[in-house]
Amino acid sequence: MSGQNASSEHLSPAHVAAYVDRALSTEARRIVELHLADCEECRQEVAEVTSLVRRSRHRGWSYIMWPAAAAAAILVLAVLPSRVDERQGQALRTGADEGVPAITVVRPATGDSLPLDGIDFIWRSFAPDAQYNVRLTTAEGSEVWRTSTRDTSAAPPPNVGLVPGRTYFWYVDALLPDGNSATTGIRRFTVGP
Amino acid sequence: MDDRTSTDLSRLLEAVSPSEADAAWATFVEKHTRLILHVARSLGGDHDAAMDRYTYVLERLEDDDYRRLREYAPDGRTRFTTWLVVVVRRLCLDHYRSRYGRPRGTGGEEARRTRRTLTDHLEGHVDIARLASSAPNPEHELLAWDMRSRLAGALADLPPRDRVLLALKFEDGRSARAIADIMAFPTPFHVYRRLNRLLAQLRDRLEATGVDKPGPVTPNATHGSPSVQ
Repeated sequence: MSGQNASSEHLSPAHVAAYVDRALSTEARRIVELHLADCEECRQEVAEVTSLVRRSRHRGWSYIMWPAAAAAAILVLAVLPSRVDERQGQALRTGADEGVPAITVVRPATGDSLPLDGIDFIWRSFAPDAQYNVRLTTAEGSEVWRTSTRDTSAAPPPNVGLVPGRTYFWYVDALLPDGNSATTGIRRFTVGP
Repeated sequence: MDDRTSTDLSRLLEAVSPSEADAAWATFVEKHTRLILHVARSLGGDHDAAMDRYTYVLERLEDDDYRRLREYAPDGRTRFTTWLVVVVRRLCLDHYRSRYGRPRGTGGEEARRTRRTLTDHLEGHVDIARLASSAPNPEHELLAWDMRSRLAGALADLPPRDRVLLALKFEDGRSARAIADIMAFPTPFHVYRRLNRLLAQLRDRLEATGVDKPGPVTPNATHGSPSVQ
């Protein structure tokens, strides 16, 4: 918080945003929290911005509109993992993927460390004419990239901005023309240094 | 900030001709309209109110050759969109205050806060809510003040993160789910677990300052050593 007195002035937009995005160093976070402990207005701001940002990102997950019939879309939404909330290595799956057929993953294996320039996802074909929807999220569950393909591989473009050392999660859901679906389940990998 | 956003913003801020700037501004507005509307709507009101805010925000962002946008400093970790949410929300609040003044006074807030229930969770070491509402007796007020001082002292010794946690829970009244989101706890369960530990810690500290054990407050307790039974 250069140039700011943590206890008397309000946090700058940059500090609020960095706090919400968990982008502060340990020391900077401590200083911000020192201020938050005594400043109700800034706590209110952090809480509202957190809510706005999370809602916006989570809602992005539901903008999955295939050009298939509405009934098929509803079915897909029903079987998609509704939400991933994975932090500090602990995974929670709140979507209803139990009982949904599995897509076999070729690579990467869960827990793999991948070089920044070598991140690609490969899976086995589940059925002819399947539409695959690929999602890549941060450990906090925020979507960083998604794509739809009829191929059985996908790679995030370089401008996705993955950060070395961080853990990410990915999964593929397949939609079949008859309305059935399948999923790889959520997979984890780390971007190597 | 992803490369495309970075390029869009650079194009806007580094435009050398008005036509170039206009085109870059149009691109920026198109790209971020949904986010700005999302924030504008979050402050309530009808469609017209939200659109008023939206227009106000765009005008302010455009002011002084995009002065506010020039304040954004990419650090490689903070998202531009998160920063923009903060700026847009502040502008929306400015718009509201310029029309209606501050959303609400804080006069009743202080009284409400003094009755909040951190001490209830300390298993009845002292019932500040009851004491504060039985104001006619000066001795009770003194006792309440003394206990607040002790509690404030114990709180001041806690790490900032723990103090924020307690403030979010007991001053702001936020849910464990909301606190987990704000403070990056993995689940609400982790919030409760941490709270339980903190409350136990605070109980120990209060006991160390002379509060012996939970129990009803004796009305005739003396200042400095509030008696409990």
